[in-house]
Amino acid sequence: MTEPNRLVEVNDLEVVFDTVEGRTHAVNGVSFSMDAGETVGIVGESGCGKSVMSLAMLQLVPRPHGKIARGSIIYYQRGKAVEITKLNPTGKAMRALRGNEMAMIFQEPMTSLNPVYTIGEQIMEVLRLHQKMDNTRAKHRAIEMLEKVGVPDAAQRVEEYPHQFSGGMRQRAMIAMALSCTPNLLVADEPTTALDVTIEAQILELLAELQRDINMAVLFISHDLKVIGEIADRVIVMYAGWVVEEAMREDIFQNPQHPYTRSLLAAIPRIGRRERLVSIPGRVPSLSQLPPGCFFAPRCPAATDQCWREEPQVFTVNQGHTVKCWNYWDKEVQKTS
Amino acid sequence: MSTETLMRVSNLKKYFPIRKGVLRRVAGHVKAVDDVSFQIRQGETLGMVGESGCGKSTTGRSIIRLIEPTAGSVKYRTAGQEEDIIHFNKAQMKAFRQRVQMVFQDPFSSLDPRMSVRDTVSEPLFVHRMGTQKERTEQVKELLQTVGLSVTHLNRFPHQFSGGQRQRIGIARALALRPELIICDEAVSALDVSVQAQILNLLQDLQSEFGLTYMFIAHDLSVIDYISDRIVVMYLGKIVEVATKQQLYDNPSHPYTEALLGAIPIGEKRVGEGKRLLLGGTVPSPANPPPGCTFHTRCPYAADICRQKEPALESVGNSDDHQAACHFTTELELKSFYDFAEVDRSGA
Repeated sequence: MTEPNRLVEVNDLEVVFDTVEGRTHAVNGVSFSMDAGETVGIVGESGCGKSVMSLAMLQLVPRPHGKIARGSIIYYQRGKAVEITKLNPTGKAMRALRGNEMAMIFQEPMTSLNPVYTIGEQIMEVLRLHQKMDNTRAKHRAIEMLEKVGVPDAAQRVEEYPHQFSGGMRQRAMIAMALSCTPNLLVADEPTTALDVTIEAQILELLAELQRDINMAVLFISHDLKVIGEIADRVIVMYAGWVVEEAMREDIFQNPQHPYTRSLLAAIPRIGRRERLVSIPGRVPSLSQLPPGCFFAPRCPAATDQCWREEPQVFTVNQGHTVKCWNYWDKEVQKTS
Repeated sequence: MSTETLMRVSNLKKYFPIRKGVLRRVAGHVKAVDDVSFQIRQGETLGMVGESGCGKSTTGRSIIRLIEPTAGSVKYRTAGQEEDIIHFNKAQMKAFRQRVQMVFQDPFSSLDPRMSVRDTVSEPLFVHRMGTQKERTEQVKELLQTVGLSVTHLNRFPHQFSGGQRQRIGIARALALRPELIICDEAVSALDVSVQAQILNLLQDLQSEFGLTYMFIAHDLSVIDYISDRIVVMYLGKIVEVATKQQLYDNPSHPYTEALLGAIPIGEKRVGEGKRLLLGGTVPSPANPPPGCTFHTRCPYAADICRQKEPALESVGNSDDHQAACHFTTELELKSFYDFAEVDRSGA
């Protein structure tokens, strides 16, 4: 049984990379879902698998070293379930979805734009391909999109090359390109990380505005909990390839359950707060040398013997709030049973 | 914290020439730092904040002549005497560099990949002819423990360390000569949040242990707030506001500071008046800065005078600690950070 509003379902997804050090699990049994028009934030430190997760959504995991080893991603195309993970990544069906119904924006807009084509040509290419527009209409639409994302003098700047755009403007152009086919799902991988704080504020506001206009779902990936908190309805916290906690935004910030989420929140400097920062000892484990049991146990202030031995189960705190931690079970579940 | 001035920077300028054509003629200048004056006080942490291209890193490098400034003076107090380091000769500069050290942003490119930790950390000691080789190794061991690394790391190479550990090596190297002032240029920007907290705490511990003075350059206003006593805000090569931490966040006196405070992500839903203030446009090119107040192109309060006359950095109220460069400092009622951070606690 599925919800009528359901857009994406990720079930027990595992993405592996074969490296010289052996097989590494970048994404390790991740499950979550997204509804139409919803913003879901994925947060975690470097190496937690959040970027690979975002690539997997569009079947963009780099081959041949990386592959989806297990699990599925289901995309509901006008109510009809399409199993993305069954599609050939370079096949016709996948290409018809990618850039059309599902779009992506990346962290560094300079490396994701082609330096030898004008901004206009790059947006028009998408429209010709997916919307079968002719050149005149595509150009018209490209200018319209650039205006929508706040590029001044769009009719003139559509003829310019990426190097003539500033960082913030390039990100706007990327967003214009991604949204030109009014996608149902936008995957945004650290879209504001390379930008200055005043420009970041502009882009976040713009994304929220466009999202309301076209009722698009956004999967927003960031290392910055505070940015996630500004934009996401629901937050997924990842650590070493696992989802360790998932909850509505308010619950993550007001009532975090996983020791990692709590530490992350305590490690961020906050204006006006004078106490010493809580730092997490050690560092994110290498994905090729994961500890047995809970991956966070070596850094966890509350780790018990069980944490070192057994992978934690996922427990439900309340409706929509889950945590993958034995401590929660000890504290809450045992008490009531 | 005393109020004694350790370093007095006056009218510092750094112009980079733009060369064009076959003859590489100078076609103009990028005014990376344009007439900047400030003081660093003994024992304080002076934060310097601004967006990319505002000249904060160039300022940090110019005041210790890693980049030769175009004009201005940098007076450093040694044994009660102020001396202008701009006129120092090579030998004097070398002696000066024992007192002032630097920690860089990127712990990957600021360490030589072919030098072991022992060599990296002892190099400043070697350059300044301090102790025998044996004594130097002993000192390196001590330094490693001070920054939270293990003595067993002595013979390892940079690639065997994580980003946070590398930054600790960089800090150990900066501490080796027992400096008075350390300039941290985006020292925690490349690190993950949990590791960033470790390094910020370490820097604070070292400051109280060794009585260090810091100049801390960063773009993140939350980090700046955490570590600084006083803050300098830069925009397009100029200082727009200088204030104590409290004054800056509670009572900003320059519209650009207000905009920065309004743009800080707070991780919560904002309500009503708390909604973020958005600046239009982007930072103009420092090669061709706008006339008058350089911020007028983006300033929501700009008037005619702002387009014509450049405002001077002047005291706000009666406080010597608080200065701003705006024609309307006294007239404007700018919002504090806390006005922007008003959040919805109802859960709706």
